[in-house]
Amino acid sequence: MTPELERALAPLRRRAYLDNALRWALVSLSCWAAATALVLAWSKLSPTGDTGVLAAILGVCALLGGAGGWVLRRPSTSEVARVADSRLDLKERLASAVFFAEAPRRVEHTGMHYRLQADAAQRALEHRPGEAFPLQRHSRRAFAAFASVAVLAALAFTPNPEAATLARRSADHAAIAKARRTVASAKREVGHQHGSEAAQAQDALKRALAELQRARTPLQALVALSALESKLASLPNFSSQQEAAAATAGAALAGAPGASKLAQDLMSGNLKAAAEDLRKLAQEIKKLGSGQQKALGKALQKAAEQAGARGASPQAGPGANPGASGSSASSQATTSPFANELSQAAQALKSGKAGQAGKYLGSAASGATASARAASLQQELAAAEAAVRNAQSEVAAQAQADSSGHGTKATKGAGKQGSRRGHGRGASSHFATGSGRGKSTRFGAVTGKGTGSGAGRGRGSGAGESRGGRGAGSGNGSGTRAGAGRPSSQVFVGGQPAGSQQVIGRHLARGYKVKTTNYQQVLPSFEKTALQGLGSQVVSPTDQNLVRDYFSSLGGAHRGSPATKKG
Amino acid sequence: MHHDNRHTDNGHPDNGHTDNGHPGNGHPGNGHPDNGHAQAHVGANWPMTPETFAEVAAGIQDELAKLIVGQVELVHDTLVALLAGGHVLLEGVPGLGKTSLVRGFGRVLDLGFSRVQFTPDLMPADVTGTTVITEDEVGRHFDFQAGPVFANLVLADEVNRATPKVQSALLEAMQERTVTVGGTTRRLPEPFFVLATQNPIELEGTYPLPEAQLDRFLFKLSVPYPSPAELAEIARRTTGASEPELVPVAGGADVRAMSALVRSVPVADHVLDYAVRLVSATQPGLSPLPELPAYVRFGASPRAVHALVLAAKVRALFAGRYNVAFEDVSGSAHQALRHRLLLNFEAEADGVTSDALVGRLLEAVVPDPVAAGR
Repeated sequence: MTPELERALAPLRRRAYLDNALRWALVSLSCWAAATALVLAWSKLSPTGDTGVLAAILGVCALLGGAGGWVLRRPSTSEVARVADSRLDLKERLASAVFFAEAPRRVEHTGMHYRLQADAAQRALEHRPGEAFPLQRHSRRAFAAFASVAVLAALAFTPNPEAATLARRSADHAAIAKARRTVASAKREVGHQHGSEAAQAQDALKRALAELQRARTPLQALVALSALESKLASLPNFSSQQEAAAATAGAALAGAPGASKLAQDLMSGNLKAAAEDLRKLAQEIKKLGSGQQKALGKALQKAAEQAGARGASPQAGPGANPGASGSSASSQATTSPFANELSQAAQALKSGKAGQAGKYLGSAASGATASARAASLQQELAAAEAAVRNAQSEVAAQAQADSSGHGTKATKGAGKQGSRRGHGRGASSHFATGSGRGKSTRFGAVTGKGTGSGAGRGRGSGAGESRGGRGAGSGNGSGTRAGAGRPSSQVFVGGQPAGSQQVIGRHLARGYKVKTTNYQQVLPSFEKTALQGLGSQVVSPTDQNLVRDYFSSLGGAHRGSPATKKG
Repeated sequence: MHHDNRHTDNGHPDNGHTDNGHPGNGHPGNGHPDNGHAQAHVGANWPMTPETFAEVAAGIQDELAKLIVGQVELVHDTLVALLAGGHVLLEGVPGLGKTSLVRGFGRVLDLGFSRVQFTPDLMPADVTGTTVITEDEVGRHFDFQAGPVFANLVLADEVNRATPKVQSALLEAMQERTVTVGGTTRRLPEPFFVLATQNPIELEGTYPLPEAQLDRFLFKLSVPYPSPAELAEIARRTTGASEPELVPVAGGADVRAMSALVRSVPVADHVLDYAVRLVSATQPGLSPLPELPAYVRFGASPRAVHALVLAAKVRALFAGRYNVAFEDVSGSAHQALRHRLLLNFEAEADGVTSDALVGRLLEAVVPDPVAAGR
């Protein structure tokens, strides 16, 4: 290729690449805008989450497609020359010159091709590259891209009627995810502990976590949390009794010679320090005078009596074996081993056997150490239980918000946790209930169909006590929200027995094409779930009775349906 | 007995005489006619370059315009065929200047010219020549008496009126550029150009040329009827005191050089591809035209591509270009394809002509799909 021809082709080639890039950019933009507009339009007809992510993915695809198209369809020099010939009316001079320059074997040595190249270069240089590849040629594509973007913008700024549903779904997912995190955290904490109680708790937490992973609705999560909460609550709890017994024993030992620190640690529930104190006292008991030994013996006897009275139940009191339970526990003596050790130490001191008393005190110290470990487990379990309860409250509130179709903000009104972590062993319930107005079917709470406004009130209280003190909390919350409800994917209608094809009581708005199901088909499972949920402390006793009465009142209806009888 | 059937237009029944007054050009009987070399100096256009080619071609056309009124395209196409080394079949009613055209070419190019009026009783030897017994001082011996085909420019008038045997003799000479008589093969002069005519009317008693022989003509040209203004000009020129005198512009050597230059014009593949697609599209099974299979029995032969490309090269040089353009190919499509499409009865019944089909093909076949796609 002669330098003249190369000089003529270079700007044309650059311009062609630019032209090609603009072409693919416009095509990509049009495709992206059109596809995203379709996604947005669909999201306004059917609740679709993550439209932003979809738009971003489509954008990346369009970008890659455009870049790929630009690379793959980049015109060769020959194509550039042919297009330039066509648009500049060069009568195939340029393309012919390029052809014979690139295929020298085809050239007959007549010198004609040199003349051709010179002629082609001269003719091409008489024109600007923009004449061969004018931007105006892309006006249609630009218009299409502009129109697509305009439609997309219009859709983006149009209110989405599905926003309420999406928000509800998002809240559902957030509540379930939070509950899942809470349970996972509790599982981790409990995992550091050993013993059969810890194993049972671990097992329950693991099962609950698996169910929460599968849960798609707050109701499903609530069932899992309720079962977990029941399980945790059913685990034996000795630590509070042990701590109470230790506290009373400590009060009895207050003022006893050489036992002031022991008394203080026992009263504060610090069993680990108390065990150390007991060992120290056992070593130093011989150094006490006989009078002091007698006074100590009296104090120990009194402490033993009071600890025994307080921890009269099996396994109560420091030193009880926290791992024992069930029938083996019932076979133990009714007084606690800790009280027994103290009592025997007191008897030994009374009879002047300081060495023997020291041994008993050492045994009591070992028991206190074991109790300290048990107390630690109990604290973890208590913390886990409190966390589960908290999660349960939030999920319950979300489930209620979903079912009512109104904007109940239960979490806003959640009461403050009864005490700081590990102390909230006491009862604590806090969730807001909402009541709304609006049209709904009989099971409008389930379908969530309805328009109007709702208001929710929350009441929460918690109380607990621990060695550090007592904690109590209460909270009030309320939330209101107005907006149109949106039916879930399944609508339950009443009035007809199962198996009937006729469906009455339909209150769906026009345009909703969702599956309708006779409520009697699902009522038994509803009742089962509701009654299971009653086992938790989320529902107050008054409300529990209401629920039971409600299902009892329905019992005749749904149990007597043909479908049920048939089954 | 039919000496009046073959004569030159100067009125002499001598086959060897041409109307340019140079009996040496194509002198009959010598067996080695070289009509061109004697006039090689006429144009003085050596060496032949594309520029001089265009100049000489324009000069030829301008000179012919003194004699031929109008008919610009006809003159142009005839010159294209002549320089491409092909032959032309002219179709037109009598009196449209076909003979004048050929005679004019003979004068302007300073080439030997002969004319044969084809009739049913014409014999092949009347065209090709024959061996006769002559007696001189030495004694009796056989001499070859060359026929009118031994000329640079041969006008075969009303070629469809002769029998197929005579037609075949002429067409074989056109194809082979040699004549074999009495076991001796004789080369025809270079350049050798046959311009055959046929009358589209009065077809009774004629022998239409078979397709295989039609295919040997590079172009088939229709001689249009002159416009009123042209008729008036013809009347003025032919009824005056003097007839226009044509001056030789080029000689046989020039024509040969120009023909050689034509062959050196490069054709890029994408242009060649267009010619191929155009010819392929005339085949009923390959045509993009849906109606073509209904009207065409056979499409154009491979000779059509040869004709298209050669003619396109000449047109490119006429335009002062060093390459063949799409318009050069399409510009010769009607002339090169119209006699190569064998239409069926359906086409005749519907009044569909091969020219109409070629026109449709030119619209249907995109010259450069690459440029069109961008």
